Amino acid sequence: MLSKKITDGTELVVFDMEWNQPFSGKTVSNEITVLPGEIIEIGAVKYEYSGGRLSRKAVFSCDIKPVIYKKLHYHVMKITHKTDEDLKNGISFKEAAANFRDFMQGADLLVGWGNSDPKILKNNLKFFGLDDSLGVDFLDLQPIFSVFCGQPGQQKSVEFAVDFYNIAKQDIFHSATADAQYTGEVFEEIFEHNKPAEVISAVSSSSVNPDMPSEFSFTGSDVKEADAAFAEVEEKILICPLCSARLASTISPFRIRKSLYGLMNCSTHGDIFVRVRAKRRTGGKYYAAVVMRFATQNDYYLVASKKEEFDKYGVKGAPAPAPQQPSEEEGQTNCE
Amino acid sequence: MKKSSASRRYYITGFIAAFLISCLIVAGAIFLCRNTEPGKIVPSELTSRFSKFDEDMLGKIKTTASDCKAFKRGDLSGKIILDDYCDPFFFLGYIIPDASLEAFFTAVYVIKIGLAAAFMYSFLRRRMALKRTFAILTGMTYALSSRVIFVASLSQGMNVVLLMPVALSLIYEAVRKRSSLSHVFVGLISFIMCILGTAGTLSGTLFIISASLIVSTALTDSVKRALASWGRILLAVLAGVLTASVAIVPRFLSYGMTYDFMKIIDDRKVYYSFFDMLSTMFTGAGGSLDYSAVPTIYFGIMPLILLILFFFNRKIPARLKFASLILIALTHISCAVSVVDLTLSFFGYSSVLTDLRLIGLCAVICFLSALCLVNLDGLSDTAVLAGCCAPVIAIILFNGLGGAVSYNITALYLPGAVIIGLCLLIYRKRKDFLPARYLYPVFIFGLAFIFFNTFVIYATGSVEPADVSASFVSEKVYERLDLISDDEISLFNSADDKYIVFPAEEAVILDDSILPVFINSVSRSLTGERLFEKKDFEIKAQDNISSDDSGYFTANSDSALLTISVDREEGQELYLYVGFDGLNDVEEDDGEDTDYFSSEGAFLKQISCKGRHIDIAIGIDGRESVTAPIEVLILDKDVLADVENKTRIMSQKNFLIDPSFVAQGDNYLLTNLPYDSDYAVSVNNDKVITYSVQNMLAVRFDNNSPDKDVDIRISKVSPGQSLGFYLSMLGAAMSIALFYARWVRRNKKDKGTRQGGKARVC
Repeated sequence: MLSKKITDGTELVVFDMEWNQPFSGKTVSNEITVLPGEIIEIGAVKYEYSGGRLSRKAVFSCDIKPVIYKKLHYHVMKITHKTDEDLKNGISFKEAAANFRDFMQGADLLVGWGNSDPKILKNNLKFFGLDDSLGVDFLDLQPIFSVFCGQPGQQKSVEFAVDFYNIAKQDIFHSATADAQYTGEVFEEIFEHNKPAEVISAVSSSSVNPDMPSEFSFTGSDVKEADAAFAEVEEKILICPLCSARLASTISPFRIRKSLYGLMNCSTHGDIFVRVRAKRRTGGKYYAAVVMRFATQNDYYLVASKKEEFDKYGVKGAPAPAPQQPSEEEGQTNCE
Repeated sequence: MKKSSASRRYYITGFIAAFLISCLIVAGAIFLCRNTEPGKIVPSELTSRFSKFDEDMLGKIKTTASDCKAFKRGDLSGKIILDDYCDPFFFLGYIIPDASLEAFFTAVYVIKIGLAAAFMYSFLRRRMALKRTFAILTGMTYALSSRVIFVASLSQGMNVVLLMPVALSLIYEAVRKRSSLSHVFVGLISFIMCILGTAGTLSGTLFIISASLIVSTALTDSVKRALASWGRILLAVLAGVLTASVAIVPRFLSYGMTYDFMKIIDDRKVYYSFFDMLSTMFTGAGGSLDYSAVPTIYFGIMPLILLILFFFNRKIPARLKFASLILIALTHISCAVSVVDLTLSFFGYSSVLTDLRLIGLCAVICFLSALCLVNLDGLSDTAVLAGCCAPVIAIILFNGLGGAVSYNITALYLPGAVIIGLCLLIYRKRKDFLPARYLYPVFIFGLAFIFFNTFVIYATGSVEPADVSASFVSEKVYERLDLISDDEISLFNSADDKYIVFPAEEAVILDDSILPVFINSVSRSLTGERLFEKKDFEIKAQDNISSDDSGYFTANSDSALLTISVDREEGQELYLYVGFDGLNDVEEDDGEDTDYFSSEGAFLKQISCKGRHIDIAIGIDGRESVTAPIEVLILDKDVLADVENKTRIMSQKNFLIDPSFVAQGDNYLLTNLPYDSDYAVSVNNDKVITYSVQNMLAVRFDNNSPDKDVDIRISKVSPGQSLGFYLSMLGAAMSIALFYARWVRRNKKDKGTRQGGKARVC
């Protein structure tokens, strides 16, 4: 929930980052979980909300020279089209973080595409010994776009959103600055094509405080049956992971195939999405993998759609669609 | 002469009885647990038995049987044989038909427990002259403790369990006789324990060191003599361990040890309070249910009462009580405080080593119990009563707080403790008057008690599952590529060692690429065509995972879930590639069949469901903010056949490659041997640099003579082999020197005594 109302004059920063990741199987000096990715680029655009519209105020862009993961991972190389040479021209992360904080001054909301960016930013701030609190709410625009484009529950790419609103493509995607600008333009379009009050309502209910943990995952003990794995954690998912209060059920937990879903409510912390999956170890034993998090637009949609499927088909879920016979032409084409 | 023969018969009868009764009890407990429903014999509430016998306990036996099959085929590596299966029974499996191997190793499991009981009986009876009835019962309590029952399925651990009573016996003789030969035997048993495996080196040696301190203290009349005697034994142990260096050093160097103590402490900050440790010492069913719980030394209430009585016994010297108390406390703390435990477990994680330390403690406690029984005169009636009450009170006090078992167990133990107390009181007072047959009721009662204990251990699942990882944290693992497929794809999922050779110019991408791209690169080099083609799929649901349009995905949480849908055409072989590290799991569903697969790390897997429309749920755990591709691929079977034709099997590590198979100029030789920096490769007698290509061993070489065979020699030198050899030589020299020095000293002493005698006579 947004801590401050969006009113005329509210400033927000749309941002995006690119980061390099360690090579799999290669030994690194630090724990990979402490620094899963080292930021190599930050791009941001500052907007001001006024009269139901967003107006662009300033642009921020900087390249960062990595000091931990200096060699560009081939996945990152393929996506960002950067090279090892490009990495040498940046400034230090400390300097970049200070500049970005200056740029963020006065903003009440950080906006990104996907929820990774604030996590990785905080990771980097902590790793490099800086204050890792962002002090501002964060909005993941991706599920907001999915709702307003009529495809709730689907996590679309920025490129899809740009195409959806026919925004002119001037830069290549997957550069932080270009993606931040595209994301900002998509946000502008969302305001443009919908009632501002509706957008503000969705934005307010989906914003989270990035300085507070928003997701909690844990696993149950090893048991012999998938049913027992669910039973083993059924009490644990009724407790708020933040305050340990007993949760009320907005949508009671229900099982569909090997997953269990539920929407719970904590009187202090609001709606909490619950997902439990029964997983099997190599030895044949099962355990429950539990995810509990503050519900987002996607989660509301996911639980509602799964509940609908459960009510209709029960635990086994919807049957797979009947196979379609390939046409003769298709078959021939494939043979070729 | 007649008397000696009768005495031997008396001893052997006891030996056979300890062996057979233990075997029968184990077999009976397994049979009962596997064939009866919970609550049928004894109410579930009394035994805490709510499910049938835990099949996992026999998991290791199945693994042993399967490893034995591999051994017969010649597929089991020397390292595994040396580390895990240095066991005569395992080699005996060579002559057993494959179909009977599982039954054979189950019988071996039972036999080993019987042997452990018989060996302990032998030590108590022969060395300590303990009454046969008590020696059999105490020997059986040792062998039927929960820790031994767990370890019995692991060859390496059970070797040490069987050798502990033998070592105790040899230590006893060395302290008593102080002869050179007896010390050589102690050195020899240390050497054998080390040779038999990691567990023997670490926990076995630790056991010999600690047990010899207790035995030395028990058999000498002053602290100074005890320390002197202990010092002599320590020298013998050192010589034995050093002599075994040729096996120990390379074995330990093959583990990727960490010396970062801060990291160990950070990783394993699990401490237990002293109260935790006390409470679990007295839990009824005992035996930790999982490794994260405090390990206990449970082996029944009888030795526990005797241990308490040992401390109450006036005839036992205070220095021995003190040394025993210190040893028990240190061992228990070492197992309960995880950082200490891990450090003692060789900077890694091995529950077997913890178990063995506790079994070593059991063996020492058996020795102390026997001392108490031999010296029953040193106990007052009050001491006996107090000794019997103490554990029951402790169970009542600690059990609920420890939370391991219900109070019903306490109710069962209470009459047990009363009967033990009464037996001891009567026996102590009347042992000189009553005929030996009056001990029979004690024997029968003891057996019933041990059977009940064993039944509870099996029935309540207090035996840890055998598939609990017993490996070290950072043990170097060299695995073949993780490609799961029904098709025999050359090089990647073959049981044989294979290789291919292709011109270096053709190969553009080797290590820095994802597996499908790499395979395609190799396939193009060999055949000019790709083995895999990408196939489009539909994303049905995304939870915490976002995609761009290039086939790459980013996990936004450490628990992401992607559901995709694929249409398979008739005859198509589909593969799924997931490039994320961490724990991935895949659930396929085509409406008729489902398939589940999980993998630690990236993998390329054949899609098993054969339906036309397949839903695949891919769970990605533990890799937040990481980007990687997820692809569905179609296998081209014609290209596969071509690749197969150009792949060769390495029947041995030295081989010749036919000139028609190698192009002139720069070539790559790519093998499916997991890369290890210890490999050395020479091509035509020239040493070449080795590369890790997708974790496989590869070399680049220049072929200047197109008409000649290419001579490839692959050898592996374990690090530390020469260091181990020199240390072994040092150990052997030290053994000889010690033997010689003691022999010379003893001769001088004898001579001096003779001369002295003469002088005195004069």
